[in-house]
Amino acid sequence: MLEEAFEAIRSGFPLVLLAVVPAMVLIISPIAVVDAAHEFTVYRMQQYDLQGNSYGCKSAAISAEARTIDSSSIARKCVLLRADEVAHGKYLEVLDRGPSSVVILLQSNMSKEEVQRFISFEAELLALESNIPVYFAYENEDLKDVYSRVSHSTKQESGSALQAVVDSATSVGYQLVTVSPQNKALPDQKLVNIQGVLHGLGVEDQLPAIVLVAHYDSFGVAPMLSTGANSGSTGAVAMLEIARILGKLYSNSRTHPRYNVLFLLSGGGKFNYQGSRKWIEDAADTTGSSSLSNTKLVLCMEALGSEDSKSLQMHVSKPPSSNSVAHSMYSYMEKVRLAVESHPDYEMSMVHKKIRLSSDSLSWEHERFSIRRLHAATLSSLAEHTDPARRSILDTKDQVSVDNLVRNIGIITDSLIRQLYNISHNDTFDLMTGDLSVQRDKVQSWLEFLSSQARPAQVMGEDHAVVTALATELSNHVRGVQKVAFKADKRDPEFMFYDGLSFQMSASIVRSAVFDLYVTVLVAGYITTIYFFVMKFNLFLSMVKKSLLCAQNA
Amino acid sequence: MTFVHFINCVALAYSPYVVTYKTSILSEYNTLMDIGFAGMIYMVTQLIKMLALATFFPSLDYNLSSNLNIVGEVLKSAVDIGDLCGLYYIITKTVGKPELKVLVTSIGWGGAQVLFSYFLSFWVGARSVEFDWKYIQMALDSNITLIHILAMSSLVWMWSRNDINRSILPIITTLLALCVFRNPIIELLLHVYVLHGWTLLVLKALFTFSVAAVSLQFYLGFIES
Repeated sequence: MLEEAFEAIRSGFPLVLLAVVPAMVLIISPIAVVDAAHEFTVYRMQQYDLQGNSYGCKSAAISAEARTIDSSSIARKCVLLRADEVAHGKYLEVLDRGPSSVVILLQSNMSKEEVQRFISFEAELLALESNIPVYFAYENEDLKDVYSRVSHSTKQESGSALQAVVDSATSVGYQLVTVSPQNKALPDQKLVNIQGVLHGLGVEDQLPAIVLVAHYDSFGVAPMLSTGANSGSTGAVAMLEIARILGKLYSNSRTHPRYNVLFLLSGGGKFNYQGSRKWIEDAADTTGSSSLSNTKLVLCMEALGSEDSKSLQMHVSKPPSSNSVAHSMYSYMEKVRLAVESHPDYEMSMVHKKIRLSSDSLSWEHERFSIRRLHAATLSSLAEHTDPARRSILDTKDQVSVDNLVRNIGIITDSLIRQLYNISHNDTFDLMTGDLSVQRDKVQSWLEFLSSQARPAQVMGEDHAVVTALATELSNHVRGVQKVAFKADKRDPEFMFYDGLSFQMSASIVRSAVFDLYVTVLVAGYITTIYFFVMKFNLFLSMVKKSLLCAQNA
Repeated sequence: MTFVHFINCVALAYSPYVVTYKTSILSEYNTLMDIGFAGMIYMVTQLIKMLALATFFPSLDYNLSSNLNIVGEVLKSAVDIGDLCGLYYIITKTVGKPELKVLVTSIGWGGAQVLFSYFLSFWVGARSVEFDWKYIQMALDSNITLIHILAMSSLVWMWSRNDINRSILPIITTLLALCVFRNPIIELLLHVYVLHGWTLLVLKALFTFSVAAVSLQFYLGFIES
C-alpha cells in the first residue's frame, strides 16, 4: 500500500515539480519588499496654482541613488543638500548639473545667520519653477550617517587606477525611494472661514461696524513643515483675546457699546487672502452693500510678535483722512503707546503703500478690502510686506516674543475700546485692568497650540483640530459663530492645491554594478574549483591516503 | 539588489549540487528519479517533524532578554532524529553501490533542504533594493549543508550495516549525535563567543568539516575492509 503510494509519487515527481515551482514563483514575484536600512519622513515642497499660474515643484516620485554636492557626477541622481550650507547660487549650480531630485536636510541648531540665509533662500526657491521633486527632511542621526557615508564614497578623488577599481567594488551607495508618491490636484479642497459678531446696542442695521480680520493658516516652502508662528498664529491669538475682552463688555448692558464688531478668522490667507475675498463677496451678495457701507474700519492683524522688532506698524493703502475711524484709531494707539511708560523706545508708525493691481499677489490682507473701497488697515510688527520671514518654515515659536505680542494686543484692544466708546483723545486713564487686561498665560498657551503644528491651507478642512478649536473658543465670547467652507470655482479656479505633502522615504544600501560583476567572477571561479575537486575526488582521496600512510610509516 | 545578484546567489548556492550530480557517478546511472524520491522523503519527514513538534513538545516562548534556552534548543533538535530515520529510509530504498546510495541520499535530501529553505529568501530578498551580505552567506551556508548531509548519510549508511566492526559503533553514534545536535552546539558557541555573520559561517564550516573529515576516514576504512 505504502509502496504503491511512494511509487506513484516517484513516477510523477518531476511533473509535480514542473507545475508547482513556477506557480510558486508567480505567486511570490509581485511582492516588492522595501526592507530598507533607514526610513524617514520627507516633506514635499509647495505645489499650488494661484489665479492660473502654477507655483512650486511639479513632481513627487524619487527613485535614485543619493549624492551630495561634492560628488563627481550627480546627473539623474538624488542630491542631498544641507540647509546650513545651501544658498541660492549654490542651488542653481546644483540644478545645472542635472539631478533627478533634491532632498534638503534641515538642522535643528542653525545659527542666526544661517537661519536668515535659509529664509531668503526659501523665498528664492519658491520663485523658481522646478520640475524635479524637491523634498525637505529633518536631519536625524540616521540621515547624518547616510549623508557622511555618501559624501565619503562619492568624493572626487584622483587616486590610482587600482584604487579606483577597489573603490568601485567596495563603495556603498544609498538608493532613495519615496513610497507610493503621487501629487494629484485637489479641486474639491475646501478653505474655512470662521466668523462671528458682537451686536451693539441699538438698531443693528444702522450701527457702525468694525471688522477684525486675521488669517490662521501658515505657509512655507514645505507645507507640512510650516508652523507660521508669527505670521499666521499671532493674528489669530490676538483676535481670540480681543474677542474675550470685548465679549465681557458686550455682555453687560451697562457697558454695551453702540458699535457692531465683526470677527473673521479667514482661511487661505497665504494664498492671496482667499478667505477675505470670499467674505467680501458673501457680504456684498446677501445684504446688498448696506452692511459693507456701515463698515467704518476693517482691521487686519498679522505677525504681531516679532522678537527683534520694538514697534507696531499700521499698514494702509492710502493715508486715512483726518475724520475717518482709521485715523482716530491710529491716534488712540499713539496715545496708548505713550501711556505705556515702561517702553519708551517703543515705536509706532503708519506705513503707506499703494496697491499694485498689476502684481500677482496682494501684499497685506487689508488690500482685499481696500480694493472694495472699504477703510482698511493691517496691524503688524513687521515694517515691510516683503519680509521673507512671513512665508518661511523657520517662522517658528522661537522667533516669537510673547512679551511683544501681549503688549501689542494690549495696545490694540485698549485703542479699540476707546474707539467703541468714543472716549476723548485726552483721557489717559487705564482701561485694561482686571478682567479686561490681556491674559498672558492664555495668549501663550494659544500661541503654543497653534504654532506646535503645521497649519498649511492644504489641510485646514472643516474638521481639522485647529479649525474646530478656534471656532469653539470664538463661540465662547462671540455670537453667531459659524464655519463657512468654500471651494474654488470649478471653471476658473482661483486656487488649486495638490496632495502629496509628506511621504515616507527609504534609503537602502546598494552596491555598484561592478560589484555584481566581481561577485560573478568569484562565484564562477569557485564553481570551477568545485568542479575539478569533485571530478578528481578519487585522486584527492588517494593522495590523502598516501600521505596518511607516509605519516604512519614515518 | 539586482537580478544579477540574485543569479549570483542562486549559482553559488545550488551549483555544487548540480556539479556533484553531473561529475560523479550519479549521472552515469541516471538517478534523477531517485534524487527526486529522496527530496519527497525530505518533505514528508519535515512535515512529520513539524507535526511532532507542534503536538508533543511544549511551546518554547522565546524571551529575548533571557539569553539562552539550552534545554529548549536540545529538545527541538531531538526532533531532528527524525532526519536520521528519513535518511535511513532512503538509503534502504536505494539500490546500488554504497557511494551511489550515499550520494543519491545527500543530493536529494540536501538539495530539497536548501531549495526549500533558501530559494524564496533569494527570490524576495536578493532582488529587493537593499543590499545585504546575508544572501551570499546563505548561499555559502547551503554549500556547508551539502557537506553536512554527505557526512550524515554516510554515517547512517555505516550504522545500518550489520558487518560493521562493533568497536567503532559508539564512535559512529557519537558522530551522528554531533551531526544531529549541530545547531544547539553552534548556538552555545555563538553565545559564549559573540559571533554573527561571517564568523558564524566560519564556525559552522569548521565544525561541519571536522565532523565530515572524521566520517570520511571511517567510511574509507570501512569500504576497504
